[in-house]
Formats: sequence, structure tokens, C-alpha cells
Amino acid sequence: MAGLLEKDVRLLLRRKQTLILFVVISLVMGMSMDGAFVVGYITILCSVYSLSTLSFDEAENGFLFLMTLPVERKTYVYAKYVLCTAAGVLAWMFSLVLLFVLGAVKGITLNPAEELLGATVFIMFLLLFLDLMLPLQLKFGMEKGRIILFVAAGGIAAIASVILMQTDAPSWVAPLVETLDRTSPAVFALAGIAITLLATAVSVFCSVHIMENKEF
Amino acid sequence: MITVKNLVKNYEDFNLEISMEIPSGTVTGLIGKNGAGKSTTIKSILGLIKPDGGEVKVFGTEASKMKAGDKEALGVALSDACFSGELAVDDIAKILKKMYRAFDADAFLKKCKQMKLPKDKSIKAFSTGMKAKLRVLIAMSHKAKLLILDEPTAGLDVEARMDILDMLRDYISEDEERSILITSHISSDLEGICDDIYMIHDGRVILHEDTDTILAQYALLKVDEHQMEKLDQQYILKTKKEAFGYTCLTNQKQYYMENYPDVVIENGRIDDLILMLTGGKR
Repeated sequence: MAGLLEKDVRLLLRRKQTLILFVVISLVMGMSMDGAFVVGYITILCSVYSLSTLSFDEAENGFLFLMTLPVERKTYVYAKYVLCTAAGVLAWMFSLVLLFVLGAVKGITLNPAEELLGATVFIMFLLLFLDLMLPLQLKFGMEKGRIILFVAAGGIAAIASVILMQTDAPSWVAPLVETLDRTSPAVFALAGIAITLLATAVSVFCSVHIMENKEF
Repeated sequence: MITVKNLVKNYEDFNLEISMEIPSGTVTGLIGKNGAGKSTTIKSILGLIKPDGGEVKVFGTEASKMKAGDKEALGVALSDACFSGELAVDDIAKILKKMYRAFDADAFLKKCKQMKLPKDKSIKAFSTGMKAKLRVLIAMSHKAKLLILDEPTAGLDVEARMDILDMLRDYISEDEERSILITSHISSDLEGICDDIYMIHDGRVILHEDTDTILAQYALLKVDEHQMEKLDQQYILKTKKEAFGYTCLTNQKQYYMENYPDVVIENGRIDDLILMLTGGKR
């Protein structure tokens, strides 16, 4: 796995202009926008950037060659999850530091515990995002994977809006909302962590299955 | 080192059914026209595609179940497949260092320098010849027991081809246990390096012979209609109609030289074999 990670990090570092652009965007957004949004945006942006290493592996029969190296298919999958998660977490930490530094520059007092807790939600979003994107892109390739994701998201949104427009809310919705209102934030956090971990385990399993059955 | 037993791979418009064996210490050539099944065979040996039948074993392990440790003993150079063109030789040395325990970065970089491959330039800026040399150098960089080379000299000028063939000869002479499986369209390359040759046509092995035997015993007989009538046909493998009469392929050159002194006999070359065995009439 170390060799694959070395390859991906070197590929990412080769695109210095993109990295510089990324830092500039972070600074501009940090100066002008809401803190939480900036943390989320930078975290996901960096993760998408690290996902682009899949395009390099796809291009010029890259997969064909990589699979002749001393690498097992499941190791390739694990390496991608590690890389994209690590890139997202690093960006998340960078954006938090940026948030506090720019807050100090602008003279805004931030509560570190509150900001940190709020920002932790984005780590869950990051993982859920990767859990969806990685199997799709391994299965269909970078371009098709993206199109399928957009079409699926659009389809779900369209179906949901049609249902909501045509019918009254089902009888179980109101009690559910009441129950959720009474639930403590700690339970929400634990449920969020459990769902994220479960989704990640399912996603890794699917990705390994996709890679194991791929022919090059 | 490699055992392919009744390998079957079916595609919509192509069907591969072959058996072959590559023992240790040999250089084996795989030849055939485009679409004959060479790449499919190599992909099966590397576990990149799943066979529909039969078995493919590399170092005694089923190809599709090879572990990372097994693959360390393989050196592979495929035509048009390598590390991303964004990377440089320097990057590749660092990546290989983390992948192969036996990788010698200094020796690799030294050989790259000898072959005039710049270490800090992106591979995408390399010429075809430079890329081909790099692919072979990568395959040979970690003391692999078995090299699998798919068209390593394709599209190269004579000098670059000779460089690569010299590199392969040096590699095999360093350790007599090492083996090479090589495909090429350039038959003179194979004649100069291979111990034996497998010829594939339409997904089947149509010839397996030692290279020395091909060069020493195979021949083309050029005969007119009259000579053809008198010619002993028992050692004729294939016949092709020509404007002057017939060209006949035999694997008993000596017999015809002794018994038919007036017949024009040309030494058999691999190119002739391909043309005759895939086009002539039996």
C-alpha cells in the first residue's frame, strides 16, 4: 500500500498550480464567508482533488500496469480510501486553523469547543461522500461515475418532490419529528458516527468486490 | 515457471484455447498476427482477466490468486501501459522502492542515465523509444525471476531495439534460473534471443518449436509445376500457390537438399513460418 500512496501523493504534488489555487480559494472564502461553510467546502474540495488520482490510474492503461505490480486488488481499494480520507482530514484541519487565524485577524472571538464540534460533522459528510463516490467511480470510471451520481441524485430529488406535492405528510411523520426533537445531541452524534462507520464498511466491501471482478 | 493448461477464454467474436509451458532458464517467444490471442494469453498469465476454463499457474500459484509477494518475482513490461505520464523517473524510483524489497534505486537510476532517460522530466515528454526503454528497465529493476514483455521493441528504431535486446541478454546471463516470455512482431528480434517459439493463430497454438530447430531444419522450397509433381509430400507442412509455381514449407530441409538438388531452397525464418502456417494450404 505504501507504494500506491507514494504514487498518488507524488501525482497530487505534481499539480502545483491546482494546490496553489486551492490555498488561494481557501483564503478568499475564509475572509469573506461563514466559517462552517468554509470548513465543509475546503474538506470536500480537497477530497475531490485526491479522487482525481483515479483518473490518472484510468488513463493510458494505467490500471492494467498497476495490477502487474506487487499489489493486490483489495489493497488498491484500501489505499484509495486511506488517501482520500487523509486528504480530506488534512484539509479539514487546515481549514479549522485558517478559521481561527482569520477570526483573530478580523477580531471575531470564536469558541474553540463549539467550532470544533460543529466542524466534526464535516468529517462524517466527508466519509459519506467518499463512501458513495469511490464504488461508483471504480465501477463506472471517473466520467460515467460522476454522470450516474448526478442523474441518481436528480432522480431521487424529482421523485421526492412529486410525492411531497401530491400527498399529505403520512401520519407517522409528526410523531417522528417530535421524538427527534426530544433526542439529546449526544445520541444524534453517536447515531451519526455509527451510520458513517456502517456506510464506510459497506462501501469498502462493495469497492473490493468491484475491483476483484474487474478485467483489465 | 508458467504452466498454461487448456486455457479457455471466450469473447463475443474470439475464442482462445491454448496450452503452453515456460520452464526456468528459458527465453520463450510468443508470435502471431494481430488479434491472434497473444495479449489475451499474457493477460491471463498475469491474472488480469479470468479464464473461462483450464488453469494458468505462475510459480505454482493460480494466476488470479497471486499475492503481492508472488508478484515481486515478476517483471512486466506491457506495450502502451506504464506509470502515469505525469510522473518522472525520480518519482518512479521512489515508488518502486516502496513496492519491491529487491529494488536497487541506485542501479535503476544509473541504468536510466546510461539510456539517456532524464530523471526529472515527466514521462509524457519522452519519445516512444525512451518510454519503451523505461518500461523494460522498470521490469528488470528488482531482480525478477520471470520477465513478461509484450512488444517491448514495437515502434523503435534499430539502435533502440538493439539496446533493449542487449539489456535482456545481460539480464538473463546474470542468473541462469531467470526466464523471459516475450511477444514481438519483429521476428529477427525473437530469432536472436529466444530458445523456443510458440506461434498462435486464431486463439490456438499452431507451432511450438526450438528456435534453433526452426532456423536449421525449416525451409521454403520454391518449385514449379513440374517439380511439384515429383516432390515427396510427406515432409511438406504447407503449400502456397505462387505465380512461378508453389512455395512449400518443410521441417526437413536436409532431406530435400540431398534428394532434390535442383530445387531452390531458402532457409526458414520466423516471418516465413507465420505467413505459411497462417495462410498456406496443407
